[in-house]
Amino acid sequence: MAADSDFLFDVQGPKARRRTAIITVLAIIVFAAILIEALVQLGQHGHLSPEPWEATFAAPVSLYLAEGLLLSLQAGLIAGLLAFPIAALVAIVRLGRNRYLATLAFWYVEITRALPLLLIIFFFQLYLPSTGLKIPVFWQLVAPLAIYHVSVLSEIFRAGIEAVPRGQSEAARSLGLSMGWTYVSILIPQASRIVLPSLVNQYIRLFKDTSLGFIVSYPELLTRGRTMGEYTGYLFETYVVVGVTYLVVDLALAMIARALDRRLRSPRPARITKSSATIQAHF
Amino acid sequence: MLFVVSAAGEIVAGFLTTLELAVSSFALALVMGTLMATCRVSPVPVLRMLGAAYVEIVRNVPLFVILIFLIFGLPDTGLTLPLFACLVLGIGAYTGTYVCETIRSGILAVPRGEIEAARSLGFSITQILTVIVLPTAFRSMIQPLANIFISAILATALGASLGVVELTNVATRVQDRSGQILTTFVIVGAGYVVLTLSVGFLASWYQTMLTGTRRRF
Repeated sequence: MAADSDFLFDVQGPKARRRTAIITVLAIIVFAAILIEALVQLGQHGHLSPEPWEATFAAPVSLYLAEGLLLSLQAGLIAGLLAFPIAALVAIVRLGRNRYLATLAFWYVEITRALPLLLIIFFFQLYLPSTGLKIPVFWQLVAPLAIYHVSVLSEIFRAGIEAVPRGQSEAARSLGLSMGWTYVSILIPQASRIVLPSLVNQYIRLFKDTSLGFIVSYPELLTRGRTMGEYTGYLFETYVVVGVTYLVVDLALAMIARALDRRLRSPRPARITKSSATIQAHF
Repeated sequence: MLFVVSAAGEIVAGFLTTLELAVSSFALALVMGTLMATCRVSPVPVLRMLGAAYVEIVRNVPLFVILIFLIFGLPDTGLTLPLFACLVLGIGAYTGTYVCETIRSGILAVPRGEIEAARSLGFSITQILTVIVLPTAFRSMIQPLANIFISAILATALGASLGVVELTNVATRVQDRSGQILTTFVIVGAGYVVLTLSVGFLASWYQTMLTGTRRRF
């Protein structure tokens, strides 16, 4: 069993192996007891019989839910595509020489990051109609998502650009490159390798946040899950299916992040380590 | 602005509920996170798998889905928890995965030489963790843990849509009654900003006290 924490303990001798075996057996017994108790409870309430599961997986229901997943992905994708260039701009402005713009960007990031996403959503949902501006449900979800994630993404970008050794941009500038070209040809290519894993992780968070579409009644996976659960009467089963769907999609995305991390880690050591701790990684 | 005065009590009560939710969830998260991190670095493969499964499963389901499941799904199985307990359990378990990963990477960041020295002096893994690793790792974890606490504070806002009268919920009530939507949201937003900024400030102050060096926050 090779693992990264192996250096915490010695190769096990006979005594330690016996202790490991005892703990293993105990853990399995406790876990099995909990599992059996859970199954008994589920069985007593009829969740182990095939009918509720058949009803949940029946073609019209699962199709309806699959469509919800597509709408979730769509909302996440649009919000992500919107947030990306704005976040890059905010990061560059914050690092730029214009003091006023940098301060403005600083406060934008600090304030939106300190607010709950739900408060921003409620604000959009309640305030905008009162000014006579009616926006569709899709944008009631996507606009707050983008506004919120711009600030976190821009922090990731900033950390990435700052992680590129200073000498790189100084060398580019002394060779006569303009600031714009320094970014385009020197800083961004190097920073993008550094930030890619954290970027994918942030997009996983963004995708998870699309479940707040429930609140504005955007018909994404969770909203449709509730509708279906109430329709079939099998709330437990439907929410299990919804949860597992999110889990599978997120795990797939996380696997991509890990593969990228491995690929990028091998040739060069430059990574955000110190600064990634200072990025407030809100869920 | 007069409505602010009449709603002040309500807003303060909501603020306190938010704080109460956040602190109890974070306490649960610390306990679960530390326990699971210990499992993840232990020499027992089954415990490692348990820790890894906890992190991978709970972290990859949206918190809101977990909360909905606890509140609306579980009663179907005969297990009805009070609303407040559901929120604390959901936010605590979810936040715990982040605590677990922070502690684990803090442990892995402790210089190997220190651990190897302790091992060659005959320390057991329990001694290594409690005497050498965790005290050293704790210093590098203050800032990340503060950020996780801030996230927990922001996560409690989800309670607003589930019927808990915390700060965000109070905002929707007060604006509904007074019609002063913008002002209400600015005041409540300021409440969150003050709360989160002061947590960040306290954490960096504590960090300075502990290590004597100033870190950016």
